[in-house]
Amino acid sequence: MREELINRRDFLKLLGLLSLTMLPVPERKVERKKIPGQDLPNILILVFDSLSATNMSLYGYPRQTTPHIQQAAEKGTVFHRHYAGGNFTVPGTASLLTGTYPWSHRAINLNGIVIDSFEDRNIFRELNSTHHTFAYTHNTLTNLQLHQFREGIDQLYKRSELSLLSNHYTDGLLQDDFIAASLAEELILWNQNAPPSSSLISRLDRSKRHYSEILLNQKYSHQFPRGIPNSTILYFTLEQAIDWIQAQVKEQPKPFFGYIHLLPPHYPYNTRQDFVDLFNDGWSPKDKPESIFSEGRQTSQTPGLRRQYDEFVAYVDAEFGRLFSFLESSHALEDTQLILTSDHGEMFERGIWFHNTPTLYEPVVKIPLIIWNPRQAQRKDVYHPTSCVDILPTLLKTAGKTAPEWCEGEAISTANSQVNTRDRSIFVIEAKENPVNTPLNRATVALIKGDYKLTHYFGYEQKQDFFELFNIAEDPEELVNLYESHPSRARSLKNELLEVLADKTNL
Amino acid sequence: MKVIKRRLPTRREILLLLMVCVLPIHFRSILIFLHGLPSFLLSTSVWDTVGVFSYVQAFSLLESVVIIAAFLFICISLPSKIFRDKFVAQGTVLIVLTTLWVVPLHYQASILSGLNWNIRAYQVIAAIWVITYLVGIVLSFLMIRTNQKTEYLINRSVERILPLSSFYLLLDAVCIMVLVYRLVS
Repeated sequence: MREELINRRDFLKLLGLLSLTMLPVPERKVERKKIPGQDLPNILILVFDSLSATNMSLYGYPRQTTPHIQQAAEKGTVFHRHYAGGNFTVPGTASLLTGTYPWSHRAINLNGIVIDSFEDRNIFRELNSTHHTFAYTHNTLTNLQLHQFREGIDQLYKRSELSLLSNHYTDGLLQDDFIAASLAEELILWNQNAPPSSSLISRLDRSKRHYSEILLNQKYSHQFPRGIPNSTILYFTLEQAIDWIQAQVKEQPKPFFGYIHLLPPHYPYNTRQDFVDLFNDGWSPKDKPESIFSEGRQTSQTPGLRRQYDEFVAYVDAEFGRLFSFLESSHALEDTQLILTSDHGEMFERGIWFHNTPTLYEPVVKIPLIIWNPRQAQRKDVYHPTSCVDILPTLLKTAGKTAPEWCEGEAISTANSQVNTRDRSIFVIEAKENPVNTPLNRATVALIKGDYKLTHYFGYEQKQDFFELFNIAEDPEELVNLYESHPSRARSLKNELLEVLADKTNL
Repeated sequence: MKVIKRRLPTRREILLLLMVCVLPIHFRSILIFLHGLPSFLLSTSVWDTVGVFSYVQAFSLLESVVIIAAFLFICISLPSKIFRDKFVAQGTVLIVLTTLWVVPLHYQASILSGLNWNIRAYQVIAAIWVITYLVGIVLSFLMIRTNQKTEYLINRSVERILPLSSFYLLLDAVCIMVLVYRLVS
């Protein structure tokens, strides 16, 4: 008779051993390469998600939300009219990284990615020959784009690198098919717009996640009484991120180019204890008329939400101040160009909250841009309009290169220039309802030129196409639509906008 | 090994129950995918959309296999007469009832806000949910054990769904090939 190989007890023991397979797999070490151009400065871009320039005291906001950035700006170049490429992360980040407008790179939808030809046309690829490139983002949408640009990134960090708790499984697996796998993971396990496609495992995963979240929130409840800063399934603190950046500045091979995209002050506005109720001052901004795209938000709740956002901005400011002090004291700023910016703004007015809107009013598209050049000692202020598409050519100039032909931005003046007032046209585009490969049929496009901003809304259901014209210098709150009363100005801007639209959007 | 083998159902029974399991899980995942399809078509290429679909289907197959593995574990762990002897019929009832009862779990947040976050009312609803689920299973198992016709009807129904389940399994095979191609190329 044949001997039994395994009995029931042994079988159960074996099952217990299976749990060992859940142990983390050690990360693959990335080999660092030797890079030519050792005398070039390092470049560090720091993007704070959803940071609106209109809510920063640096740019004249009545609440003192950014005292540390203001102090740091005394040694940098402050751009007062800097615009995002779109009004949410996908077009905003893609424009920053490719130096082109959304009508070219076509990352226009939620979960959108750039078209294939732009996988080789981006800031990482351009700087990779002279700089060691590395990137990190908290943001799921930006992470898709960074994976598209992976060829030019020497070290792309996983989201879990800067998280207290991460449930992104594709970060560790399926790197070679990241975009489809990442979108599928969302659909299978943590779909936000519908129930997840997995019936059972998603429930188990959600329970596990929920339990971990409770433990984490208990641990940090004193420090973050409104909850730990998070993005659906990623929990983090800025303290952790800033400490990490400090380490990177010391350890990365020089010269380096680092792109770091941190989620605060994006919603939820879970600020740190010392900023809670900091702006409980009863102040509220000017009343503005309801937009035609109003979401019908309750106006009584708007000041409270804005206050929470401002308090979260103050947390971002304090942590940035800590980073800046480190960079100064460690003399890192002597050979590093530091850029602080955002991907888009945030709004609490006209019946609209946050940034998921067809509108392009200043709070949602005007973002900060401050550039600290190596050894810059004096503050400079630039008042002419600039766009995030200008960052790529500007950095290439720092690296001694010229902008590629496909780039739609211009190298902008930084430390050594006088105030520039020239009339240059820049654009902001919101087109999330259009497919990637068709002309833009339903969109909002703003043309900013000199003091004026013309916004064209077209193709929206049950709304006629229309224009809005504002003089931003005289009416920064965009309260008086000059489209009818300034016909000649309106006509010339309209003609220019329609001409560019016809040229750029008809594929 | 022999002890384990003795407690396991036959291959045919395992395959039959896998077919039952595949049906609701795949039906649901395809439905959810179709819900998200317009958004995928807007933002990604057709090939990436095919990739997303393939991952979703492959995961559904994995989930079905995990559930069947759990059933087999029950068979091994419990005396044969409790579960193994009526494997297909009792397994089918478990799958169907669980599928139906799992649906409200995905709407917890809506239910809670519908109750104005009244936790007490929510707890009552949750208790009713658990009790009806357990009572449903016990009653169904009793019916299967006491009434041969019930078992016969369930087994007949299982055989009738085989063509559709086979289609889903075929689809899974194609999806796995797509994924292998995507990962290798």
